[in-house]
Amino acid sequence: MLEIRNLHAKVGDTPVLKGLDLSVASGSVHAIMGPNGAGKSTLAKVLAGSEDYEVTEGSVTFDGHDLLAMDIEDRANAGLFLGFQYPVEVPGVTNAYFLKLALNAKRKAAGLDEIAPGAFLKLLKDKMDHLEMDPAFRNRFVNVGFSGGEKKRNEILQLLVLDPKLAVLDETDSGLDIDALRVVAKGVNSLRDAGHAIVVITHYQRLLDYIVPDQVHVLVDGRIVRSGDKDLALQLEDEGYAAVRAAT
Amino acid sequence: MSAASSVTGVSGWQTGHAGWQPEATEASWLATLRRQALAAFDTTGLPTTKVEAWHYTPLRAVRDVAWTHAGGVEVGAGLTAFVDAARLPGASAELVFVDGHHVADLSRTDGLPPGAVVSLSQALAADGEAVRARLATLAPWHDAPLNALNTAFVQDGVRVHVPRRVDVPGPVHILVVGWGRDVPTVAHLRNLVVADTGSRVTVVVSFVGRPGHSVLHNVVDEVGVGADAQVTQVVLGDSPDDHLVVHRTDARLDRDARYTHQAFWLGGGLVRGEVHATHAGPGAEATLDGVFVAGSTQHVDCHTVIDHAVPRCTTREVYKGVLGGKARGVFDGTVIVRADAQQTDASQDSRNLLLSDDADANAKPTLEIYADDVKCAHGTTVGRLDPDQLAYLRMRGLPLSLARRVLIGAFVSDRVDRIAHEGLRARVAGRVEAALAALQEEA
Repeated sequence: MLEIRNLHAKVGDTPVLKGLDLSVASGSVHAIMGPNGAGKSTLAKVLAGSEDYEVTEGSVTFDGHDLLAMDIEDRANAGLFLGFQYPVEVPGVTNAYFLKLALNAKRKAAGLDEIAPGAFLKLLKDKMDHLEMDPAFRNRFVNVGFSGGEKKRNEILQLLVLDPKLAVLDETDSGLDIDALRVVAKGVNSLRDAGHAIVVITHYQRLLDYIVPDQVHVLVDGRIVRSGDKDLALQLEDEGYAAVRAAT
Repeated sequence: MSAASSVTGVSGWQTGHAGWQPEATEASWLATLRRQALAAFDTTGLPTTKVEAWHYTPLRAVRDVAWTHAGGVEVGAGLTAFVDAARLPGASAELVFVDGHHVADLSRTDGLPPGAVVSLSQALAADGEAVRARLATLAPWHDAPLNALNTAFVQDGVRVHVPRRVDVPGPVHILVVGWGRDVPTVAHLRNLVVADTGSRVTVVVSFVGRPGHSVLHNVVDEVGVGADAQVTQVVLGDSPDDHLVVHRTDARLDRDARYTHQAFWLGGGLVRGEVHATHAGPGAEATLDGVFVAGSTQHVDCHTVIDHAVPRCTTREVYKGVLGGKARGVFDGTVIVRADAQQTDASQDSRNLLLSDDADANAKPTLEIYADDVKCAHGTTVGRLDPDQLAYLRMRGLPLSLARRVLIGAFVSDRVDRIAHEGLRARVAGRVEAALAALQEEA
């Protein structure tokens, strides 16, 4: 589903990604771990199309399309979802309105009619119930005044409503207490099937107890330096990145 | 009050009014008032940008044109259809003025007790002394040249009088139509709103017009808000860009009065919206919300002066501007807190969103504080759409143009949402949306 080859990207004059390779097959769950500054968030944002970064080399193929040639919104509507580490506050725009606009943009791109208002409200209610969200969040402005945990839960709500093929979740676990983590993981795991793929970016092994990855990758200094199964995450937790890196 | 039409053919203010004489039937006190106001205007002429209150707003477009007072209005099918489209659903009364003339056939006041809402000329005919007791009592014409002109040439207007404890159910809609003639047309209207103790009323002043005709409206509202009374005044400026609008409100708030002024300036080549409010009784509250949307070479100047003369009054002022093209938006607001006005709570907020490199915003909130136990704040912002918000919306699939539209709409929607009357809110929301869409198209 996603093929990243020799990806190089910089912010300003500073190279961040330095030849990154990653292959994500449909139906699989990948975890990317690594120290601060390794390029984890950069990878996520480059995939989503952030204009803060410049890709200087390499290729990314998503579902057979040249992802790097696509506009930001086209990537989203093709089925790529980035769950933000720091979700953006949007005053004046309610959650429900935002989700409806986003869902209809996706449907329009797929040649479908707009969703019927009743069907949308039912979908929204189902997903909010699944995430144990207070219905009041429907009419709150997007992320405005939300706690850190509420923002992350709101990202997962967007994920479930938009139902993308590929979800890239950037530090979705940070700022979550254990109950919130459980709920968020439940939401993410509900997407686990042959038609979806998930990439979770995390500092901590803790999240991976709830979202168990098929593969774990270690990202250091802009490159994947090691890949393995879920036990690699445990090893990282015990020995630290330096040891794992030295062992490569 | 057809007297003013006898100045037809004025060419420039100073020379054109020289031969002006009041009609024989006009009360002598009114004729005297006109003469005095005209004399006051003559001493200053139109203000230049050297006058501080007009620093940001040159009046070339007013000064350089030979304005003419229009004669009577012929009500044809085109005008009727135009007025019908501008009517406000749910209004309890609707008074239509075309080029300064009250058009009774297009107006209705049947939803209200007799005498509550009448045209100014009707009020003068019925009880001139009652008008005399109010006219030009709140709006000073000394050192206010446009107001002096209005006082000198006032043609008509509306008198709203809400008796004690009466709650007027729907808005009183004053529809000011610039239909225009073959020559540049000026119209002066004066609206008097008197809300007695404990009463409630919403008055809407809409400016609309026919494009392709040069029209100048100079409209003054005098609003007396009695003790415990609530007056909401909504101004919808939706004129075409070849029209000029000068609108001034002078409000006086008695004890525990509530005065809400909500202005939406969406059209007009040159717009000056002035609000002067005086807290004259303790515990009064003034709320001023403003939204202006301007593109191409439009110029919108929102000028407010709130005078806290007595203790324990509150002022909340938020103006939001969206500017594109080469438009210029001005917020020039002053809050005066006099020595007796202890425990004043006042805030002024001016926020501006620029959509083009050539658009410009001037925000100048000023506080003059002579009391020591007060809570006063002001703030201004001038900025662009937030790139992080734009990227976030796009990353959820919204096309760039839609993402921009959503964020620009969100910037002003909180002001629109504060309109209490549902039909009015829907009307304003629709017009704001249209103005923003036109602005985006331009960008």
